[in-house]
Amino acid sequence: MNISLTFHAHQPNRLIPYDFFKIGEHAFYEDDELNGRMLSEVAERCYLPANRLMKQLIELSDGKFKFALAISGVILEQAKYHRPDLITSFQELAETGCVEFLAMPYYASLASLYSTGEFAEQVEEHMDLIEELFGQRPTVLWNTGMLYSNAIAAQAYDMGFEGIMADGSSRMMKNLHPNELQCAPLIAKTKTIVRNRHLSNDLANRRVDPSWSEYPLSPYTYADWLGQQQGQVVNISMDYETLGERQPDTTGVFEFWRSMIMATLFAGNNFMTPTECVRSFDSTGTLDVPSPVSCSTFGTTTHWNGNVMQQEALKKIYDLENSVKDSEDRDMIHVWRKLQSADHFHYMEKSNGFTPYPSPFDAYIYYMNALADLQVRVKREAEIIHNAHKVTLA
Amino acid sequence: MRRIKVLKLGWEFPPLINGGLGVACMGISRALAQKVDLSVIVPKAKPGATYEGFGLIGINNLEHREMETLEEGYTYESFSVVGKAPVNLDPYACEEGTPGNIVFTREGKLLFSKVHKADLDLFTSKEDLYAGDLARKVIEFSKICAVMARSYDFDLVHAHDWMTYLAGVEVKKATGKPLVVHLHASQFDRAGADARGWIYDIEKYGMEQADAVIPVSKYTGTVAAGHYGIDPAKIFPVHNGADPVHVFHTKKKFPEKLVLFLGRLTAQKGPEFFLQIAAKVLEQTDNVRFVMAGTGEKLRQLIETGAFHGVGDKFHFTGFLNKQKVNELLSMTDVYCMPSVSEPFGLSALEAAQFNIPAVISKQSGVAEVMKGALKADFWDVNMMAKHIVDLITDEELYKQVAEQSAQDIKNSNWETAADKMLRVYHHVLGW
Repeated sequence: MNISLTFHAHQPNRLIPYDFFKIGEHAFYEDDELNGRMLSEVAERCYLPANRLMKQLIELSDGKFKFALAISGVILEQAKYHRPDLITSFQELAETGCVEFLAMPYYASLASLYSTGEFAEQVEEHMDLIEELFGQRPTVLWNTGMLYSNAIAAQAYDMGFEGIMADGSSRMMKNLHPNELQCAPLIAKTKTIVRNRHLSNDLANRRVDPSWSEYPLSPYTYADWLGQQQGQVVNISMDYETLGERQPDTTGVFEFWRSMIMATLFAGNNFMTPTECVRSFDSTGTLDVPSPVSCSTFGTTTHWNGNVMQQEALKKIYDLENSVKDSEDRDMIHVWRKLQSADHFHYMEKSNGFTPYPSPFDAYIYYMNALADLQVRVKREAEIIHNAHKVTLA
Repeated sequence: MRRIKVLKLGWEFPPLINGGLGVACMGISRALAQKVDLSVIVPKAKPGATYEGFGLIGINNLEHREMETLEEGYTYESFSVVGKAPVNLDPYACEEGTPGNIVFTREGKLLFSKVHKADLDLFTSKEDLYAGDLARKVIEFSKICAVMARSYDFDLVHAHDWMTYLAGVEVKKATGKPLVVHLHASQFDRAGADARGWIYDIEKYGMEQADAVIPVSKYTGTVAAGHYGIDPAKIFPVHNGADPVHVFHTKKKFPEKLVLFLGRLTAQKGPEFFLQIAAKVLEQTDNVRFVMAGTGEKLRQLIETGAFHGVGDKFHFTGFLNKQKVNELLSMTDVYCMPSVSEPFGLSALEAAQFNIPAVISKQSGVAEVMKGALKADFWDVNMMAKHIVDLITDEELYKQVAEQSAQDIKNSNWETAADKMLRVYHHVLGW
C-alpha cells in the first residue's frame, strides 16, 4: 500500500491584554515573552525530539521513509527570534531529501475565505520563506485548517499548484473513496489529496483514549491496518504537536511511531510525499464542495466565524486591507497580517478550552483594541503621505 | 435656638465602602456637622477612623457585653409588618430570589432573643455588606440600632436608603423621636416599574412611617409619590452635592473624539441605549470612539450586541476601573453620555462637568434638574441622543457653550447648599 504522511506545525501569536488605554499608543500587540516561552517548551517536548526521530527513521530506512511538513510562517518567524536551533533542526530534515515542504498561507490565516488577493500574497510569502530556509519551492498547498472548497481549489490551480490537501469528512466525500485522488469540478490539473480522516484520527486522538475499543493500540496492529487499505494512496495527516505535546512522551508516543513506521516499511508498504502522489496517480472522481470545509471536529468553519464577535473581528480586519496596503509600509502590512492568524478568532469561540485568555470575550476585546490601534496607525500614515503629497504639488 | 441633635443611620461609609451611597452619606455628614450635633451609626466603620465634627459608630466595633446591657427589657415592634424576608437578596437583581424564607409571625409585638455574639459577628466578618444573608443583616442592624438609640440623646433620626429604614422606624418607635428618611435610590430605579417584594415593602413602609422624606431629586420625589403612594406634602427633594475633584487633562493617544459611558452595566443605567446611540452616531461620522467603562451582569451580552451592530472597532469596553483610571478616562473624554432609564441623581454627570466635559443625559435623571447646560433627551430616544452627540462633536461653538454652562451648574451643586435645605426639613419636622 502507498502511504503519504503529512504533519502540520504552527504556534499562535498570543496578544497582550491590550486595553482601551493603549489604543493609539502603537505598542507591540503580541505577548513576545509568553510566545517565546511556549515555543521553547513545545520545541523541547515535541519538535526537536520528533525531528530527531524522523531523521533516524529516514536514515534507518535508507530514505524509504518519507513525509511532508506544512510549517506556518508564524512559527518559523517565532523560531528565528526565540529558537534558531529549531530552524536548524528542520533544515537537517530537509537535507535528507525525504521531506517535502508544503505551501501554506504564511500567517495561518483565513484569507482564502475573505480576500483571494491577500490569500495569494500570503501563500507566495510563505513559499519564498520555505525556499530560502529549506531550498525547495512547494508544489502542493495545505490551507489553514485544511480549509477547502471548489473556489479554493480553483484558486490553487490558478496559482499553479499540482495538488491541494483537503480533509475527507464523510459528509464531503459522499460515496467517493478517501484513498483516491480527486478533482474539483472543472479543475483537472490540480489534484485534491484527501486526508483519511478515520485512520488519521486514530493516531491523533483515539490512541490515548482509554474508552476506545482498540485501546491500547499496538503499533503493529496499526501498521496492519495501513497495509490492508485499498486505493491509490492512504493519506495520514495531523498536527506535528501530536508527537510529545498533545500526547506526552509518557504515553509512549515516540516509541509507538518508531515501531509503527518500521513495521509498516517491513511489511512492504511504500511511503510517498504528496507531490509524488499527484505525479503518480490520476484523479478518479470529482469532488464537489460548494461551501468551505475544514478539518475541525464538525468539518465546518464555525469555530472561526460562528459567533458575532468572530464575524465582527474578521470583517473589521479585512476592511483594513486596502488602506493598509496603500501605505506601502512593509512593517505595518506585516503587523496587519499577523492579526489575521486564525488563532485570534478561534480564541473568541465560546467553547474553546485552549486559550491564553480568561474568556472569549476578553480575547475579542484585546483583539479589537489592537485592531483599533492599527486603524489609528493607518490613518496617521495616510495623513503623512497626504501632506507630503501636498507639499510636493506645491 | 440650640443646635438640633441628629442621629443618622447609614449603611455604606468611606473609607471602608466607597459606593455612591457611602460617598453621598459622607458628603452630607460633613456638611451637616457644621450646623447640627451629629452622630452616625453604620454597620461597618474603620476602627479608629475619625471625622471632623461628627462621631461615627460602627457596629463591627461594638463589644458583645456592651450590647447585652443595653438590650435589657426592650421589645421590638416593627418586624411584624414586613412579613417574609428572603434569605438571598440582591438589590440590583431584577427578580428577587425565593429560596428559604425567614417568616415572622404577624402578632404585633415580638420579643427577640438577646443580641447574640453571632449577630454582631455578621458585621465584623470580611464579607461584603450586600453579600450573603442581606435580610438578616438588615434586621440585626435594626435591632441593634433600636437598642443603642435608647442610650443616645437626640432630637430626630435620619435614615439613608432601605437598608436602614427598618432601623429608623424601630428607633422612632423605641424613642418617640421623629423620623426623616433619605431616598438615594429606590427599587423602582434598580428593578423597574414592576418591582415588588421585600425591599419595595420596606421602602414603602419606611416612607409611610417617616415624618419627612428627602429624595435626591424632584424626579425621585415623583417616584416616591407616584410609585410608592407617599403623601407629596411630606416629600422635600434635596439635590446631592459634588465634592471637588482634582481636575487634569490628558492628551488622547488617538485622533478621534471620545464619548464616555460610566457606570454599572445594569438595565437601570441604559447601557443598551448607549450602544444604539453609538451605532447611530457612527452612521454619521467615523471620527469618534465610544468607551463603556464599568462592569456588571450585562457586560458579555453588551459585547456581543456591539459586535452585532458592527461597531466593535469603535466601541470599547474597559471592564472595572478604579478611581484613578476613571479620572484618567475623564481627563481625555470629549462628551459624557448618561442614558439612564431611571437615575435618582447621577453624580457622575456632575463629576464629568468638573472635568469640563459637556454631557448628554437622559431626562429620567435627577441631575438633569441641576445641569441646565446639559443636552437632554428621553432615555429611549436614541435618535435625539445621537443628534446631541453629533452636534457636540461637530459644532465647536455649541461645545463651548455647553461646557461653560456646566461650569456654572457645578458651582451651585455643593453639599453646603444641600445641608441648608436638610436643616430646613429638620426644623419643619420638629416644629421649631
